[in-house]
Order: sequence, then structure tokens, then C-alpha cells
Amino acid sequence: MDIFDKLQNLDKRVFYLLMALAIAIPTIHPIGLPVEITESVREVYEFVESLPEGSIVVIGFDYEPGDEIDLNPIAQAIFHQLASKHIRIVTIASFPAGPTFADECLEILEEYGYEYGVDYVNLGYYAGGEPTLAAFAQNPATVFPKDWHGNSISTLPLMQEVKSMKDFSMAMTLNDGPTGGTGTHEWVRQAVMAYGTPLIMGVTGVLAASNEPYVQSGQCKGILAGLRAAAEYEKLTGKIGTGTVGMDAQSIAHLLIVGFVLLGNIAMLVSKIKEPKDRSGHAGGEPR
Amino acid sequence: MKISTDIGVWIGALSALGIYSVLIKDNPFYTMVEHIFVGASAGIAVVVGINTFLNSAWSPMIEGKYLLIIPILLGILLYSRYFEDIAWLNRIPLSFLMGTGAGVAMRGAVESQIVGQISATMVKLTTFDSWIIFLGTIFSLSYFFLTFQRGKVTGVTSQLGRYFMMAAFGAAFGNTVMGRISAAIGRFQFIFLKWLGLG
Repeated sequence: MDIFDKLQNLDKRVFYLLMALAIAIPTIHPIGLPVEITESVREVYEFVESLPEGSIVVIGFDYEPGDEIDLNPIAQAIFHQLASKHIRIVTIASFPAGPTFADECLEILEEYGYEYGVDYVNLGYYAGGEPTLAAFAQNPATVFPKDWHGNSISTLPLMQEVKSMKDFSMAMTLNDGPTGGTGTHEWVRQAVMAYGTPLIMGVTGVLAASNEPYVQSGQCKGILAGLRAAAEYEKLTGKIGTGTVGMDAQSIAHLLIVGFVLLGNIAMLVSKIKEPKDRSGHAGGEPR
Repeated sequence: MKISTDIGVWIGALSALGIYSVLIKDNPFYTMVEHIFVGASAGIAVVVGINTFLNSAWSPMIEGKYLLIIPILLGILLYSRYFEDIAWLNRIPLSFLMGTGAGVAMRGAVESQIVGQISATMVKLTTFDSWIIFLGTIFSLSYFFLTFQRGKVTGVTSQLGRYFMMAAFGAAFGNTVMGRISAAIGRFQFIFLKWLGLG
């Protein structure tokens, strides 16, 4: 068995170990690889910059715990920008864990002097997906008589200004797919098509390509996809967070994967080229 | 190095290690953590579900919004499927759910997912990107012309359409890999930074 055969039959645990090292080392000792700002992220940033100061936005936390690392940094980066313009924030969630993530991300607003109920509200979880989102868009009070913390929304000054989706200057969904919650398609239908509210998306990397047509058609103002977009956004806002910290590990891990894909293919090609020679030259060659 | 003293962080970190231990081989620690995860997720969903019911249906109803009794009863009827004699009753709320779901989705679906998408491909052919969008749409659609025998021209366009789709699948797969790596980075940050206090 030569080196190429060994490469093709490599114990997958060796790869796991190398991957663990590729992520662990830059996590403990950041390298500081440069993060270039892509056009799509800049467009989202500029759109948010163009929102009127003091206006109100709604942000949907539509993801499960497994996608927290992709989407929490995006939420935090956006919150920094919104807070710097004193834009007020209403959060909702279509997954049971969503309100907890919202609370975690909303904590950063304290450094801007935001007051709960006046400048931001976490309305909590809603069941039922798109029909409930449609009901919220028509009249938020019918879906959320109380907020996540049990306050009647009639006692929250911010919610007195919100009568329908039209009262939001922007809607955003932080989304990991439609399974179990409200997907991006539903947000396009209920926020953009029904009320003309501009929409931006923060999605996991998996969803980036499938949602790009909405940007192309102008139905979505922009997409922030995964940890990479969070890191770029942090650079634009000047508030370094977990997105930037994770990018070193992301880059090294990607290099490792590309390296293994190349090596695996080279090994396969070489083995294929050598195969006929083994059959004719030796007694059957090595069995595989 | 400053190890966390938070019991929640310890449970989270040990659970993460338990899940990752399956990469070496299946073991009882992994099975235990997996079962705890499933149980905890179900428990959280039940608690949040009950709270949602109390906040958005029960409390408003006893405060005077008596019409809410209708959706509450419809909701209860969903559970009739567990009783053979009255199982047919669960068709009533299901019909409502399907009807409202389809009706609400129809509201914007035609414009957002058909008209909007078609008009987005009608672009001015002045840039390389716009040509890619235009040709990519035509060629990919031609791949799905299955009602007649492909000729020389349609054979070439459908083959090109296949390449366009393969490029799209490649981009989607690349993004998927990035997402999975991100998930691992999240856990590693939790273990090394939050739990062990390294870095």
C-alpha cells in the first residue's frame, strides 16, 4: 500500500483530530487574519444607516440553539448599529429558544442607555408559523397580549406606537430555515409583499444561496450569511465580537478541508492511473 | 487560565464533550447526553407552549375576550385523535389549520415567488453578471423540458443548464460546510474560552 492508497483509506478520526486542532489553536491564540468587507454586507450596513433615527424595527429570532454561533453575532452587530442611531427594537421568536437568545443579545443595549419597554421590547415566542406572523403583522397585540417577561403590552410605551407591520421602518429575520419556525419565504410574504416593510435577512450559511434570488428581485434589501458576515459587520461597526474571533478558526478549518479535498482527489487519480499497470505487471496488485 | 465556577457552564461543556465523544466511537456517555438533550428540548418546548397558551389565549379569555373559547376548543379537538371513537373530530381543527395556512401563504406567494422572481431575471444585458442570470435561467429551465426528445440545440442548452445548477449546488454545499464549521467553532469557544478560561 503506497502513500496514495493510505491517503484514500485514512482513518476519519485523524481528520477529526486535525480539524479539532485547526479550530482550537486559533480560538486560544487568535492569529488576526484580515477580514475584507464584501459588497453584500456593505449594502446591508448602508441600508440600516439610512433608516430614520428613532424609528422602530422588528427582529425575528427564528433559530434553534445549534445555530446560535452563526446568528447571535449577527444580531449583536446589528444591535450596535441600531443603538448608535437610537433606533428602537421589538423582538419576536418562532422557536421556543428564540426569546432567550433575544434577551442575551439585547443585553448589549444597556451600554447605550436603552430602557426596557421604552426603547426595546422582547415580545417572546409565538406558535403557528406564517398565519401567526400574518396576525402579528396586522395587529401585534392580538398575538402578544403580554411580552416575554409577563408585562401587559398595553403598559409598554414602545408598543403603543406599533399598530401593524407598517409602523416598522425595517423587519429582519435571523433564520435557520422553515422547519419548526417561520422561514424567510414567510417573512417576504407577510412583511414585504403584504405591508411593503423593507426586509433584511441574517441567515446560516446553508440558506444563503437559496435566499439570494430575493435580493436579486429587490424583495430583500440584503443578506448577512453566517459567521463571516458577522465578522465583516463587526468591522464596519467597530465593535469586535465573537464573529471576528471565530474567523481565524473558520479560515484555518476551510484551508484544511480544501487541502484534504485536493489530496483525496489527487490520490484517487494517481491510484486510477496506476491500477492497469498493477494488474498487468504484478499478480493482481494489492487488493483494496 | 481561569476555569468557570458556573455549574451551568460545566454542564454545557461536559455535554458538548459527551456529544463529540461519538467521533471516537459510540459510547454510553454520548448516549446519556443525547437522551438528556432530547428530554430537555421537549421539556423546554412544553413549558414555553403552556406559557404561550396561558398568555395569548387563557388569560385574555378569562379577562373578557370570550370568543377565544373557539380556537381553544379547536385546539383541544386536535387531541381527539388519541381516542378511536371520536378521532374524526380532529379533522375539524386540521381543516381550519390547512385552510388558513394555505390562504395566508397564497396572499403573497404568487407575487413574491413567481412574478417577482421572473421579473428579476428580465435584466438589462449590460454586465457580465446580468448575462449569467439571463443565460443561467434559460439553460437551467431547458434542462427540465422533459416532454419532447432533446435535439442538438436543446441538448447543449440542457447540458449547460446542468453545469449552472452544479455550480449553484456547489455554492450551497460550500455554505453548508461553513455553517457546520461555525457550529463547531461555537462549541470550541464555549469550551476553551467560557469554561476553561483560556485565550
